[in-house]
Amino acid sequence: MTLTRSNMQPGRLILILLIALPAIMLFALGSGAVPLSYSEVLTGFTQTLGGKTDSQAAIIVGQIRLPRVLLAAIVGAILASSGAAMQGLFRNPLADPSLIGVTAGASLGASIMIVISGSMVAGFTGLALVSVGAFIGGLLSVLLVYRLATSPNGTSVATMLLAGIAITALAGSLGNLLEFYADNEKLRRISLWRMGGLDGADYPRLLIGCVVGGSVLFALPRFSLALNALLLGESEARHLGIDVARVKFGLIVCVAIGVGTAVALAGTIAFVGLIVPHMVRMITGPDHRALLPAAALAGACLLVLADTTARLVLAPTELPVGVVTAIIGVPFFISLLRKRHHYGMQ
Amino acid sequence: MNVLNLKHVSTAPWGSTLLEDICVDLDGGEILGIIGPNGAGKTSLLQTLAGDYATTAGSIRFLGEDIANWRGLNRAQSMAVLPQLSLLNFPYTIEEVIMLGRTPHSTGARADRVIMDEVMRATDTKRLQGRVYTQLSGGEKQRVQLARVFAQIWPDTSSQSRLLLLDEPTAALDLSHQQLMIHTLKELANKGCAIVMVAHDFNLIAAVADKILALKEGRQMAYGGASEVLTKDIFARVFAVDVTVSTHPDTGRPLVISL
Repeated sequence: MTLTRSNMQPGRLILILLIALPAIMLFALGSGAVPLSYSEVLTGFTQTLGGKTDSQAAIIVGQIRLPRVLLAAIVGAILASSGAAMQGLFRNPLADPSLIGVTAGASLGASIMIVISGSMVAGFTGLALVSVGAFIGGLLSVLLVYRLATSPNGTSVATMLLAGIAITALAGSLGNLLEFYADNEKLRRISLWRMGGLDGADYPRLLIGCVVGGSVLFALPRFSLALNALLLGESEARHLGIDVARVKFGLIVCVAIGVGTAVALAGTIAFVGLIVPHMVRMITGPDHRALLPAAALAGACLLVLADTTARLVLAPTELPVGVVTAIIGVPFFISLLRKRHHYGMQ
Repeated sequence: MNVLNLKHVSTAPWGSTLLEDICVDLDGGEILGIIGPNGAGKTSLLQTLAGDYATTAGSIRFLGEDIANWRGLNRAQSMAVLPQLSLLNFPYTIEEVIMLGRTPHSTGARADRVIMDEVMRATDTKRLQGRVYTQLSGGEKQRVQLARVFAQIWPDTSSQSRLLLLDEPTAALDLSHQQLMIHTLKELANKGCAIVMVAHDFNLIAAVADKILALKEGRQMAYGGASEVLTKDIFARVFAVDVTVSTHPDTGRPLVISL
């Protein structure tokens, strides 16, 4: 007999992750081009909290690493829990948050901003403009996908999936067209942005991430029971008293805003939204009451780790974090595909 | 108490008419069997009863209230639907699947566990405890899904009437589990539950149904007691087949012999 579910209690996994996340964050704060010991990290941290910002540790921890580590955690949590919600909504284990077109639309929005903004906005404003472009692009394409899939008979998730693929392809080719006309410097910025990175992390971005991410992470678990019933099928969920149309709309809005923000803040980060929910589901099972919070925590852990790796491997140069998550993610995903029947899915 | 009342019901969810002029009346404790050839509209009728399709003519009253006026959650507390095909593709344990049947109720974990224990016994799924749904055989899956809909309308302290809609519940079951299911259905009916069941096994229908509705091309061909509907003449008209109808030696109900 194949073991498809671990015997671990979901509560225990959440507890382990709750302990692991601060530990990983502490490790991430101490790692980098200038390694800091744990006591130095703590000193820097308390000095930052106390408003003292002149020591080297306080600058490195408070100004550079802390916003970045926290942003990585928020973005990872948004992506992973959105992925879990999308897999539930589409009843498709291969769904990920980009499926509804949000990532491709955001990429296009960012590319447009990079190309039209020109050289005048290389610094902070430029980054902010690109983020706004990404957010708007992401929302617009989700809106389009949702409209395409909605008929008087309701919203079809199957059509939404296909419309998402179509819009993703369209946004991709428009993005390529822009790259074709972009000069070398812009081309590099576009392609770096696409690979994703948390190097733009600062407190204003962290604040946006916390507000939006916090609301999305708070809202998604409210759909847990509906998602549990939806796995049976849409009409089955309706016969169990779930208002399927409202749940669909609510989930799409949450994921569009959450992932739109995540992409705007950190670029496109591959595989977190696809793989983390699978890893968690193998341990907790598909019950979204455990899956959504556990996936959020695991996504935060994974992205903080991946970002730290991205900073360490070629220090002082940084790899784009999207490269790291894909390199970690792809082998895992392939093994998942090969073992899918063991995992209990046909 | 009248649970279900259909007066001249027609539906056309995609433009063309699926059901035309259906009249049915079902009280609490009664079992209605629906028979008919493939594509006759049996499943469409169940879906219409469940409120999935709007009626284009006629009226459906569930517990005295127009079906369109029922709020989803209230309806789910009194009506459960077993679909013909289940596409569940995620590795739930069977307990988790059965517990989904309790989604519309807020009776608390303790009451839910008691109900789960009873429906597992009623469907012989106790021995599947802890197994993952996706790894079960077709018949085992069917029993788990049956347990889920039983759990949804299982009699509890409230004396509310309930309705159970079953689309080919026995198709994948072996003989002993068919008999177990029939036993449970009769028990549910004794406790006031109304049951509508689509099946192709006429002798099974004859054994349990108080009323039988024969459908063909969306129209009502015959409606009445087993001995009125299961006749050689109606089989010729509805299914275009020649059968022998005899009498069951023990129950005295009609016994359909084909071939």
